Amino acid sequence: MRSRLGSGFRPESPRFGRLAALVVATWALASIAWALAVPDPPPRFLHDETGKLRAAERRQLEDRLQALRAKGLEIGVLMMPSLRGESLEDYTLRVAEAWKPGSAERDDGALIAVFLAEHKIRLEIGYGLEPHVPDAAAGRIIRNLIAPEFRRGDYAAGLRQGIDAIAALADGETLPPANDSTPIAAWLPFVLMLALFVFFVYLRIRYPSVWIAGNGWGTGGSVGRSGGGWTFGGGGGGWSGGGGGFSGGSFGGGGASGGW
Amino acid sequence: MRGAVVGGGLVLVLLALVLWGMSGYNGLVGMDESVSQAWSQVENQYQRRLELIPNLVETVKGAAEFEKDTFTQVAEARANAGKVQITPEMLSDPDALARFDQAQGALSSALSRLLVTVEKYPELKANANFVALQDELAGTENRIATERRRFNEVVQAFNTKVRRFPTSILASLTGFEKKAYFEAREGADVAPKVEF
Repeated sequence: MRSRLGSGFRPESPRFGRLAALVVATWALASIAWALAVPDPPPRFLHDETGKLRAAERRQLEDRLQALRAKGLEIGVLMMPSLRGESLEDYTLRVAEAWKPGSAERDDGALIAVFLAEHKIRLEIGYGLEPHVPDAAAGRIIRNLIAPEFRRGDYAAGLRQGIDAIAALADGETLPPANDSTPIAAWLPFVLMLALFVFFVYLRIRYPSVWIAGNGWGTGGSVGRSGGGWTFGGGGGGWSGGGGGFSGGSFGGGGASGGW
Repeated sequence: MRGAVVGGGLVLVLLALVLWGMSGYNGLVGMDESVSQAWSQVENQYQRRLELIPNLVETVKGAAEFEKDTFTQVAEARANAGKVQITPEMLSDPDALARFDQAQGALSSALSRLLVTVEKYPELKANANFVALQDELAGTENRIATERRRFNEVVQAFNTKVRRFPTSILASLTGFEKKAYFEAREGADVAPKVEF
């Protein structure tokens, strides 16, 4: 490709350089446009674009994931036909960041991603689950449990084994109490109110005639009420919320990659 | 009466300025804190890699005792990388960050040479301990790439805030400087492949 393009140019000529830059830029833009889209978070924790799971198998897996979720463990499963040239770890981390499996307080979610064309498997492990499922354990799950089933063509069995292995490792997880911390911004409206109050007190002392002319605090009251129109933005809390059935866990690239 | 209105108006303007300054300053402090936090994540992951290396080298030594040079190179690069530390206060210094990046990069290349050497010893691939360490190392490289990217994102947001008017005035008054970030070196944005 390059040799054909370059046939009319000497490679060292500035025109060639500019053309090469243009080609690279176009290619870079195109690759962004072609990048594999992240699917919406599946409401039942499993997204399959390969059609390799039969309806009954799929339902069983979804029920299993649902049951685990009821026990406090959120695992997402993604099956894609191909990575389409994306880097495995970059893409699966993007999916994990978009789906957010795991609780927002404990970050104890996991994602199992499968790419058929490349024969690649990736386990993304949420921050809070890393002590229970270290990378070495994630690698073992892929190599010893998922990959052998995939090699036999039994995708449902491989996924089930992977899910159960993660669930078994996560079982010892202790649940720390959720703590509510007040964001700094919360006290700003109070400071504003206090400042306004001080301001009006100051006005009342400095220019008593203005206030006495009215009926006592009447004027001040109306202004005060406009101050009261400030909405107190508290209560938003730390819940970033996940999509679909997931609850907002975060990921830091822990886990393992493998293939079959 | 007029004096009261003018005075009151002045006080209100002053009050608004003070409030704007406060919230702007608090925003900068918050973002500065996020940068420090993102940096400590980057450091944690590099530290984790430093701690993995002795075990890895020991395991490889058992099967490949003739590769003394490679081991020495890894040990030296590791010692160097351990020496270059960055405190959050040094994050405004691009040279300091570049030195850190360079030391860690040298360690990365020493490690990849070690892993290439390992190819010659198939018995290592059957060693459960080695396979586990290899998973840990691959995971750590991936975490390093993730935390580097997040650090750069947080720094970018901070720098935008520090340089954009009108927060820029506030930032220069209160001594907030723009921070250094990781330059994308050739292939440095991609975690080195740990494959066998």
